[in-house]
Amino acid sequence: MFLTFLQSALRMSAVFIYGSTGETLTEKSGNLNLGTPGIMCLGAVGGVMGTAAYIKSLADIADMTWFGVVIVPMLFAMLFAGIGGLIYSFITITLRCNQNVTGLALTTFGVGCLVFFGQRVDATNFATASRFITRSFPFAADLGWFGTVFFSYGVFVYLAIAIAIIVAIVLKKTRTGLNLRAVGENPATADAAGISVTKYKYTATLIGSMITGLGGLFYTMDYRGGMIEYNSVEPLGWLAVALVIFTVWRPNWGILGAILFSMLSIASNYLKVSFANREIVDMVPYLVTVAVLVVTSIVSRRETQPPASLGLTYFREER
Amino acid sequence: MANDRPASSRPVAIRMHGITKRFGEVVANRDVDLTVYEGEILSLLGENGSGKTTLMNMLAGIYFPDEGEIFAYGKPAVIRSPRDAYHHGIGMVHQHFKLVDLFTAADNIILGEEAPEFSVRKEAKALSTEASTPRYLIDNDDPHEPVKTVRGTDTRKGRALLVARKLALPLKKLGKKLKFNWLARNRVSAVQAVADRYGFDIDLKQKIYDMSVSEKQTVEIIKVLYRGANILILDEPTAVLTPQETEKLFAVLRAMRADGKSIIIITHKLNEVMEISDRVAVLRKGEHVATVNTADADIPLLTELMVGHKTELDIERDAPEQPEDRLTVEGLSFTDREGVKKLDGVSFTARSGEILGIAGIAGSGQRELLETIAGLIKPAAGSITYLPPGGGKPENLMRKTPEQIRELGVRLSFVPEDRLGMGLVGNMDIIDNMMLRSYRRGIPLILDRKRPKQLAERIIKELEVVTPSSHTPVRRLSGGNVQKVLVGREIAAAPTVLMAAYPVRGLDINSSYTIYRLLNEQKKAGVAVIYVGEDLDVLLELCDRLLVICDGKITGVLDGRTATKEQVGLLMTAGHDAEEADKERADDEEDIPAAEPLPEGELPTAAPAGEDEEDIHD
Amino acid sequence: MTDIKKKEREPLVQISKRTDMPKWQAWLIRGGAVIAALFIGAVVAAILVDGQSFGLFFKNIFEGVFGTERRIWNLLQNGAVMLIIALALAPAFRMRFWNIGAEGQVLMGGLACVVCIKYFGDKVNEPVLLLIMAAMSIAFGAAWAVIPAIFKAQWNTNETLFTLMMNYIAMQLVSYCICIWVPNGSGVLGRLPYGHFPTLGGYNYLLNVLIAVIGVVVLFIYMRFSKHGYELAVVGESTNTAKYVGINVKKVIIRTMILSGVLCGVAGLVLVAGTNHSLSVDAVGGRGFTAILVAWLGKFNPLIMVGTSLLYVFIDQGTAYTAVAFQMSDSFADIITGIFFFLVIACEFFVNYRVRFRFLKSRKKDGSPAAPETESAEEGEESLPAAETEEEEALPVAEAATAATNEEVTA
Repeated sequence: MFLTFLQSALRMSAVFIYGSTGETLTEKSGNLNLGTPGIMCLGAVGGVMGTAAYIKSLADIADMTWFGVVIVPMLFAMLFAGIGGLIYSFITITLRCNQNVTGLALTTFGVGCLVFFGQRVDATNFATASRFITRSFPFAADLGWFGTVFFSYGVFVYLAIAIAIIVAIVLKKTRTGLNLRAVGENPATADAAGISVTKYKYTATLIGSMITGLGGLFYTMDYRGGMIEYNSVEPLGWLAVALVIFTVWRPNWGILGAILFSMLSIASNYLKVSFANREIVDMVPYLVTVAVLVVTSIVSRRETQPPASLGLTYFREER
Repeated sequence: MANDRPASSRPVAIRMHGITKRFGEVVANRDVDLTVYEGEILSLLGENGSGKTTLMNMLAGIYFPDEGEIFAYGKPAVIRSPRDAYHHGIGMVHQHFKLVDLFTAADNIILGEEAPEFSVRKEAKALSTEASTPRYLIDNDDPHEPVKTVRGTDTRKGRALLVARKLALPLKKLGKKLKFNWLARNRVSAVQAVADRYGFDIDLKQKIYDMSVSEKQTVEIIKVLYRGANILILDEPTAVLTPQETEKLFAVLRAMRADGKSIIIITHKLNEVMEISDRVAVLRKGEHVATVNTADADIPLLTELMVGHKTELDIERDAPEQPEDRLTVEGLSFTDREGVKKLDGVSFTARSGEILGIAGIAGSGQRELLETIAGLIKPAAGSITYLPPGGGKPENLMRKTPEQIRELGVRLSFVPEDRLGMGLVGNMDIIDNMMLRSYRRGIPLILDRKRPKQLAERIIKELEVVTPSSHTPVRRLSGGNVQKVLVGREIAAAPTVLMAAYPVRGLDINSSYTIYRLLNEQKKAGVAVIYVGEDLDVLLELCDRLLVICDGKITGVLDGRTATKEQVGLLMTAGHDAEEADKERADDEEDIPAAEPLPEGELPTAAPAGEDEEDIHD
Repeated sequence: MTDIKKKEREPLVQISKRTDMPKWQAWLIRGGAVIAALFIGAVVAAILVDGQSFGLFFKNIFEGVFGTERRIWNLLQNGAVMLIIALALAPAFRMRFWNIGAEGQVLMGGLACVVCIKYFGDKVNEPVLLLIMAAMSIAFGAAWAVIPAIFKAQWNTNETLFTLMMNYIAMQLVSYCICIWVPNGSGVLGRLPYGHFPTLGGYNYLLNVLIAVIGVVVLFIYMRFSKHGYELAVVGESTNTAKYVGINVKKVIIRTMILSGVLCGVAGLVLVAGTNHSLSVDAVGGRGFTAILVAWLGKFNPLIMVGTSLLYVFIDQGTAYTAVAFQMSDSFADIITGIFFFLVIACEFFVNYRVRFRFLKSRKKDGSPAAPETESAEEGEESLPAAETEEEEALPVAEAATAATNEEVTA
């Protein structure tokens, strides 16, 4: 029982890892992207459309390969999410419009796209496709509980962890990350040091969106087994935004935070509580996030603060 | 500070020729020529607003000159951005540090550093040349030809190797890039090497927010050096330093000079000019007045060059009528968040019916002084007492909020330095801005716009505010009109104390005179006016008494009618060695308006006439 | 050589801030954006269905909104709810308090109503019940809004994220309550028998609309003619100025957020008692977020917001009808409203900034140094009046002057 819970939680955590890693990267460049839920939806759209396109291109359903069913939807998801990120970047970075309203509009747009395209897509063979995507290490079953906990997932779970670790390393250990953090903290200083603020903001937001988009793909094609969920992606996106705060803008902590969040969000299924009390259990992630938000603002340690220029547009001549 | 070689025999590092920079109507720099030699320290001296910083910003790539040319090491230099400036070896330490607080010193220094160039094509060419260059091989087994010529390309293996090495170049490039991109743990050591070379004593692993101002400055200097600058510009580096820290900085500057670097230091402190520099370039009102060898100059001469001659302004000034004490400030001290002591035991009295001028270099604590009185800053120590007209009960204003001060019935008006950021709301129209002070009056809850509208229209008419209507947002007005609106509102509150910080800054001559007139009217009406200004000519003609502030301390109280510009200038810059003046003042405290803070002997007697101004260098 | 390179690198487009576009021009640009959005919607429809639908799209939109009396009432009813929520947000946003928690605040208001109906419904008569409901929903909405405000005022806690989280806490609370009230686990609260708004003059939704109209008038007066409204505007524009004139910033933040919450509570009341007569987690359905956009588009001015909320509902309802007519999912409406928002947000750039094309300028430079600036051709802007040049020149002076001194933010 506990094993299933743990396995399920770890699997679910990939959604949060994708979402929070992407949003962390975006926020580190000073862009508060409230369009994250929308981008996640767009990623899901890309995922289902990619899968549908791949299945359609096959002469026979038996020709389906693991590689194709992973790569094609992945590229589609990144493309769709990237378009969402591009719209956001263009409006907020180039046109310097308000980040919050742009993000909210993007969320409306993305959610609409998911429902609209999700209903139009031919999802007949999605369950088969999902079985390929969730295929795990063949030796997992031989290793008992160890295999179940560590080796029983599809490729996208491992990819999520890999991406989070890479992003954490890039942010912390490379000049690219240093420059990016400088852009988010103090764009004027970064500009004076010869860093192209616009380039960094665009790149970070685009890559961040693509990563977030993979979360939507994973949730639909892997976690839900190819069932297109219209209403549950958006709340997951908001939880990912909350997770960014919860982990004080650190992707490596984000992995642990994601596991915690996913445990909390599926805990109600495993606890022997009434339907009503489940809702209370489901509230915990949000309460915890609020608590973290309040504590960090009261303690006000420099390292746990959001990037200093988060939410602000940068215009050089406005000093 | 004499140098072993005369400066003019050294190679030229920077030459600026005929530089002009305008900001709209105002000419910040007019036809300025400036030459900096290698291995010298040049002081750039001038009053506030004389265009020193603007001139240097053009070297650093912040501004681009409207006219004129810049030559770096003999070659024409087009500097459009800080990055360009670095390419020409120019680095500037700005007065407001450009550092990311959250990073360590070392990370701030390496921020934005570019990878060393690595061109695949060039490297490939080099490999080809290397391979085809004959090498000599001594073959002892061959008695006929012991010396053989061998080329790398002779053998098939050699050719294959060449191709392989060429193909590997992009990978090598990638590898180099990745290696450069990696923030190695030892990244501090490269920076440390630069720091050690000039004897900087600093912990590079410390975060900026934990650093003192002087440490931050050190980081900025190392940053500039690390980026390979040979020409360093320091904008008022000593303004934020203690005397001991200043000494340390000067030692470092001397070490850099010995290393062949050129240093330009912007300052108004004459004693420091004398101490550190080889030559002094003086700017006045945006123009280059003279460049002299420090060895040939003395403080009176430099003061004279800097402030110029007294110009008659014809501002009316009546004798104060029955002045009575209105506001007493005792031992006011305030230390800002950065740990800089902005006010240090400030004491003075403002009287009704007179204008009390406050003179000083910008940032000496004038702003903090006024904001403390207005209740915006909570001081660390001291007292502020308001003595109401007609001998009512004195009110203690110490640590009161503006709200509380108002509730005490103290009519204190304040024209802050930051007009659109504090005094007015830029996006609101004139009427709504009029209400800022008075909106609480009248029936509860509901705003009365009628009276503010009348007031707005009165001010527009009386002060000749140029505006389409009273419904125009104030940010759309020009600087002078904005100020008229602000001063007009503050006066309309019928104050008993009126404080004005730089009320004529950026205004044209007519608007300035309107402001002077208004202040004089208030004075006649028996208001205690406190005027913070920067133009000494104005201060000397407008004010009845003049308070000179330097580094948060009052260095002298002078009679506006008898004081000379030189006196004020010396007090303004005499900062740290003003102990004597302090003592003198203590004796004369309060009631003698003609306090004479300086011993006769120190008065600048040897000041040459302006016609003798000599540009020794050119 | 490097110099030539530098010149080449100089950007071709120069962007500068503008402060004074005539209002009619700004509204022209915004109007253009709305039309562009509809046009794009038609193109999307044409792509998804067939070429004919391009024209049908416009016809259907109008038919969907104004086709029958019922539809017009739907427009008014939905517009009223949207408007009340937008009104609630306006004072907070005018104060630059990013309250994205309207969703939760409205939901709490609705929850309060249902609680009242559940516990007093059969005990008191309708008018009394409605009064209790009103009081409770207002109290709940205000409480939900004031919590983040207190933390913002006291510790400067980020209100955007705080209010966002409060939305989900509210949703969970509602789910919890529904679970308790509906023991069968279906999670659907049936139609509530009590606490319905009376029908005025035979119209079901007239009271909703009236409440919205009263809200507009009251809020307009509050924001424009009351001392509170003035204070919150000053705080929003500049906390420095507010402190300078002795406004208690913390007090204003908390007070304004209470007002915001009260109005959200009213919206909850209207939703439960006036429209749905039931409650579910999605009762607000994202309107709390959309209202931000609506209020923002209306420049937080209650009168303009009447127009923007009706415009939004018009597009939403019209495209939803169109979608049905084209046999598409009604989420087509979300996509089109998304595009609509993108365009009207992005068009603010052309209101706030001026775009000059360098290469055109340099070509003209030979003639006279003061060659007229080339305007962006977007939305048919006209060259600006002479007053602008004056303004532009006056600004840098002040900037240079402030730059020359120590500008340290007041503690």
